[in-house]
Amino acid sequence: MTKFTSSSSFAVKLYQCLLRVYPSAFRQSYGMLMRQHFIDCYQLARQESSFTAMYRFWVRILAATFKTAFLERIDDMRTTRWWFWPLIVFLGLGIGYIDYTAVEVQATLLVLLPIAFCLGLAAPHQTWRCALILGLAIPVAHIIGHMLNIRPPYHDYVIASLLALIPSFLAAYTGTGLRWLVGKGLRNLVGS
Amino acid sequence: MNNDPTKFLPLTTAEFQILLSLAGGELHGYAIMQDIAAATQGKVNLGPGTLYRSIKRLLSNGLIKECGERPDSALDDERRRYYQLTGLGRKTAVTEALRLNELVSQAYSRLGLPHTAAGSAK
Repeated sequence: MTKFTSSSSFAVKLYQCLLRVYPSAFRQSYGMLMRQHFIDCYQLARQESSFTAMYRFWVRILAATFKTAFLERIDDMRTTRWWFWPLIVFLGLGIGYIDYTAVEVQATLLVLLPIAFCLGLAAPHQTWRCALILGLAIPVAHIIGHMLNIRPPYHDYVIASLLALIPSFLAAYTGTGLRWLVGKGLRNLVGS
Repeated sequence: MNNDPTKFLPLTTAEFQILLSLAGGELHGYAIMQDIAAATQGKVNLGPGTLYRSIKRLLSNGLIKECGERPDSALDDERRRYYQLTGLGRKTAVTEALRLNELVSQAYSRLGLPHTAAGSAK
């Protein structure tokens, strides 16, 4: 087994964090091989023992990683559910529009809570992203409403609308939690 | 699977170089990188991202295949995944080489560059 210095270990850990920019399917197939390749290249670069060599090494690694990760994500979107995130943004802006124009905040909650709950239930690995997009789309919709000069029926507070993040996260994680509980219950049932 | 090599053209530089490396026999990822760096005098240096993205595309197109994992005694004890060229991959590499050769000949003749015996401009 190759011996690592503390700087090598740090470099490898940094690279492993960097690998997260790749889609998860690609990471599962090639993550370990890429890590191994990085270690080999890093040790080769360290043999030159100069700041310039290490600097060039990291610039190449960073540039290649972000470029290939971007291309892989584009390929991934073509083969998977590319429409998912645009749909979430559209839903969020729709909820934001309701919040901007409705008289009572209950109208917003009546729409936001079930949508966030369903997303948490259906996409448990994307819960925090869905909740964040839904919650942030509401103040964004307020800003768009201001820019387009749509008069709201009540006083409008863009900053206060950020509070929508709280029910968005609560509802989404309730959905995720319920899915987990039901899954656990079913596994116990099948197991027994 | 598509058996027409022209469907995969043009290959990227990385993909073509990987096919050329594997023409000499099966290699693992790091050995491919070293072989390419040596053959191109360091001009083409494949990092992990570029190398494995290209390998993934070549595998999915059936131009190369995996042939097991084993340690490389020249390096360390880590098990490394080896790749080899398929028949289609060899045909594709040959077709690409012929295409590039024709392109270079056209460029030489249009630019009025004299051909040497090795095919490089004076």
